[in-house]
Amino acid sequence: MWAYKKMLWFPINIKKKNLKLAKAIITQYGGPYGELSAALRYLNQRYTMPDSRGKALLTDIGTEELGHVEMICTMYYQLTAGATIEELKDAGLCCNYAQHGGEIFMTDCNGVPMTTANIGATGDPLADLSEDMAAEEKARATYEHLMDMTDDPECLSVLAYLRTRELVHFTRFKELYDYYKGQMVQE
Amino acid sequence: MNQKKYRDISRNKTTQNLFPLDEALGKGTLFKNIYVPYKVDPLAPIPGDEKERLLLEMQMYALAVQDIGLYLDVEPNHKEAVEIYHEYLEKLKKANDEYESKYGTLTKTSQYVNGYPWQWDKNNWPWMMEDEYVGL
Ligand SMILES: [Fe+2]
Repeated sequence: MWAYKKMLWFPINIKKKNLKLAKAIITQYGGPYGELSAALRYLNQRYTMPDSRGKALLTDIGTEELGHVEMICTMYYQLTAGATIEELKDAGLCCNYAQHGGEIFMTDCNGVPMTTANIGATGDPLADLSEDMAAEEKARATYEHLMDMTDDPECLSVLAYLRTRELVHFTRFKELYDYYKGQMVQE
Repeated sequence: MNQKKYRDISRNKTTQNLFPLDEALGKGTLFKNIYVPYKVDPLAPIPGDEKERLLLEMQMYALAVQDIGLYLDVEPNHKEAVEIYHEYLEKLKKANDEYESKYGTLTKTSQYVNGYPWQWDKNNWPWMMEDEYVGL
């Protein structure tokens, strides 16, 4: 069961419209290294983790990522608030408007719909955790690219927060990976 | 059982290993040994009003609980970390209570959800901007 709490992990108050940045940020919703793909990856892999550490860590990080999905959607929502059709066309969001109107849809920044095909799920904890570590690094790199493209402090603060979370998740996945590996060597 | 040495969290050396909670929220983690800044090095977010201050307080404790919780998932036998977890969890509950009593329910099972008319659909959704707020 999941319970919804009506609050964000981190405050988001973006007052400056920026459609081009919104178009780029959407990749962290439905792109290959996005938050939704991360959430699904971990929540899917947890069932075959060999012990309670792995089940707990994947459940907790997967759940946190669901909250990050909401943060990314909030950024997109606020960055595009009040946009006219002309402005959407100028920012390359005309196809998005044609297909989805004002709705936020889970695509990468080229409009390619989210796919689960790139989610590694091997049933092998070491292989899965290696995939998870890589996923966190790829998400971190994406956040850095997004940060390169803006100087709006209201966007930078949120992107910086999300980027740090990837550092934390990477560290915990690595610790669990090393722990499992160490156990194998002992046996 | 050999005593394992934990260096990430220590109550005696809190200032050495962990960021102060408000700064931790700005940066995105409590753990100094994990944090590496990029482009900006945020400090504590600054609240605009009382409502925002309470929200920040909740977010601060929510992050602390999450961050130490993830640590405990991989270091479940670290007693001191468990104690710190409970300390922050208590503070999160208190901040949550104060916020909900003043500004409306955040979860459908909150004690403040009682009352007529239905309150859950009132107050604001987290993605909404200030000028869209409908108020209680
Ligand atoms: Fe992550």
